[in-house]
Amino acid sequence: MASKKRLAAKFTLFALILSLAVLVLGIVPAGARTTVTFWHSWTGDEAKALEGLIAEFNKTHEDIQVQGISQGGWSNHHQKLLTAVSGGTAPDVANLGSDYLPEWAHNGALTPLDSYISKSKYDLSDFYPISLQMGRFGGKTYGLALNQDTYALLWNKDLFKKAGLDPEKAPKTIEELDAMVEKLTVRDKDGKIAQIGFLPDFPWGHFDLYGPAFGGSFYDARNKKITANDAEIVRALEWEQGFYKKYDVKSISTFKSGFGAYATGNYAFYTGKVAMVVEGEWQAAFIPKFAPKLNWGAAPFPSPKDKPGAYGATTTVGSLLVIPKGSKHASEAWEFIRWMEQPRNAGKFAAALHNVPAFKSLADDPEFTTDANFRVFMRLLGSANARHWPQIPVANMYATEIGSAEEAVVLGKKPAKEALDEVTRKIQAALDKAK
Amino acid sequence: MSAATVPRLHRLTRMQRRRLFYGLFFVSPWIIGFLWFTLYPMGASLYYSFTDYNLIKTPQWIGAANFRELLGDELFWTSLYNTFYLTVVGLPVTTIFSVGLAVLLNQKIRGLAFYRTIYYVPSVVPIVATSIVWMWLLNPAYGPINTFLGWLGISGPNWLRDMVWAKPALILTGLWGVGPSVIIYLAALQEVPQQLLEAAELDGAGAWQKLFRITLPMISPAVFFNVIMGVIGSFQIFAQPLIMTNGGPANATLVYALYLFRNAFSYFKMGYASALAWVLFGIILLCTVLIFKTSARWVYYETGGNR
Repeated sequence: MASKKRLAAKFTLFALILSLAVLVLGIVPAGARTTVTFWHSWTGDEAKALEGLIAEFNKTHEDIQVQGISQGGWSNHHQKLLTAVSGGTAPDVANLGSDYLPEWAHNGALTPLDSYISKSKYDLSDFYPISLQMGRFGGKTYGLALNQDTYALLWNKDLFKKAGLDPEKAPKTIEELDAMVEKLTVRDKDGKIAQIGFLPDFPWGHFDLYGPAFGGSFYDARNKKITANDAEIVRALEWEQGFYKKYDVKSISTFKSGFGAYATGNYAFYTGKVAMVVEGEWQAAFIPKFAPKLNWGAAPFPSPKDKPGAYGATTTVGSLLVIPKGSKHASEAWEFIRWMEQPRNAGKFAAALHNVPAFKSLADDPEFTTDANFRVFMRLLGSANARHWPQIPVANMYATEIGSAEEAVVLGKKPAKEALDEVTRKIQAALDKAK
Repeated sequence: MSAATVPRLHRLTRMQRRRLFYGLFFVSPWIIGFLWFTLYPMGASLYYSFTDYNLIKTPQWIGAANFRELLGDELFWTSLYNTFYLTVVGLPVTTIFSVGLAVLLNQKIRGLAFYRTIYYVPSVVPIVATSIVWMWLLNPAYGPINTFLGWLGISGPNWLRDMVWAKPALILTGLWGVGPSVIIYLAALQEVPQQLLEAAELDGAGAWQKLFRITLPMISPAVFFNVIMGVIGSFQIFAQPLIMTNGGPANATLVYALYLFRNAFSYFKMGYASALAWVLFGIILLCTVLIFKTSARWVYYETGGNR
């Protein structure tokens, strides 16, 4: 009995000391700090850069504690996020691919940011118009750009020299490009392609760029019309098809299949098998790492001679910060977004990712402009011909259908006009239904 | 079943009741799992198939509109055709290959255990890894398959990027996963009564006659089982086309499950995807019933007589 009593007394004493310690150390200002969960798609060094920013935010904000949780990669992140939103267990804030935004916003998975933006008088004017546009859907802003990609034409200067071309001059027109491709294409003694000047769908499809580069538009926003069969778009696809006719589908596909993997030293542009490619700004970081000896340049993708106004076209896609539907601490989440979306902070993150930042005020920041090639990608973001894929309710289906049409045409299964007419009809019907 | 054979609960003795309780208790993890993770989702998807549902908003009842839309959806028919192709062409090839392999592995040769292991090992490898290995094997420029064809003087196709060869390439990949069915065939082969084979031998039957007249009829129940499982599996094929071709080139390998997945998770058309799922369920059910109905003609049960 006595020992039990003593034990109880000891325990009480222990509890007393413990609570005193806690009070002294000040760990329990209960309810004073709101925890904001932030799901993101980054891993490794990129996640580390983000964690650094989050720590800085937490240090400077006494009332908000952001907890960053990596969902392990791009598609994993989006799948888990969708499941969580659908199941009512959404995080408070998350990043979202701008190519995911339209379907998500249309289906009510996101919270519009407009009221937060106006309430806190957050200034949107520093964003490039195209960066703002990629976070908007149906007249509302659902996401703010954190970092993004632009696309340009990369060329191998040594191969240009070898072919007798001026190594410092990229093609300005499609006609120049075609002529250069001829000079830059080399066949071995069996007639097999050993080196090619350019491949329109390498390293992946870039039809979303060729459309605007030819002066075409995929969507008429004013009349809500799908315009995949726009004369300029048809012309762009015919150009791509002509390429495969001239150099032969089978020869190209055999040649292509011998290419090494992307993001390794064996990538066909690094090894000189392909003299020009359409690529993103991250190559300015990739090339020193994987192919340090490569002598290369970047320039806007050319446009047809009779469409000089289309020159400087690029496509962009990026990562946005969004507040998912069901966020339990939306206003605290907005505080975090607002802080992250300061040029200094978002710029730091974009620099760590070797991506293009979305802010005009960083246009001359040496971090992004010292490298002449990277500067080309930076400038493209401000181009009047910078485009994002149409932010419409059926954007993904549209992109998939365009991709299939492109494949069918390149393989010679269908004429360009017919394939694009079909896409227009189908997507228009789906769009009309989605309203 | 007549009423007399059905034991009524209140007629059970205490002992029987207790046993019933324990029995149910011990299988309850499965029953609960089945109810919660299988039956409930199935019921929900049946309901969703009659609604306009996008994962977030409340489903709106639209009757049979999803099913009507299916009929006019070109990609639905394309994906159905591709899936049928993989089943109709793939299943016989797979069956012949795995029965043949099992017969070979049933011979009395040295190192049998080693061979059996070798042929089973690919089935242990995850589908993603298998697919990536096969993408390399099928590579037209440096893949071993076309190198081998080259030795025979054949210029091999660009398997996965060719509209004609992409589907056969997937079937070829599937042959790597025959391990489990080979095991079942092997078990069946060991059950073939030795006396029958000996009797046939005494009557002067050759090896082929023994195979076709005795062995195959005797293992036909195993073939039956594997064909049913194969039909179900082949209609649901998803991972290989997703990884190896993503439905391309120009939808040549857009299989049913891949199209369903795109509708559900890329286009947010969960109601439509549910309708797709139930149509697939109907098709698989129909095929299974058909195979069952014809089975009396080609499946031989030793003990069941004309069952």
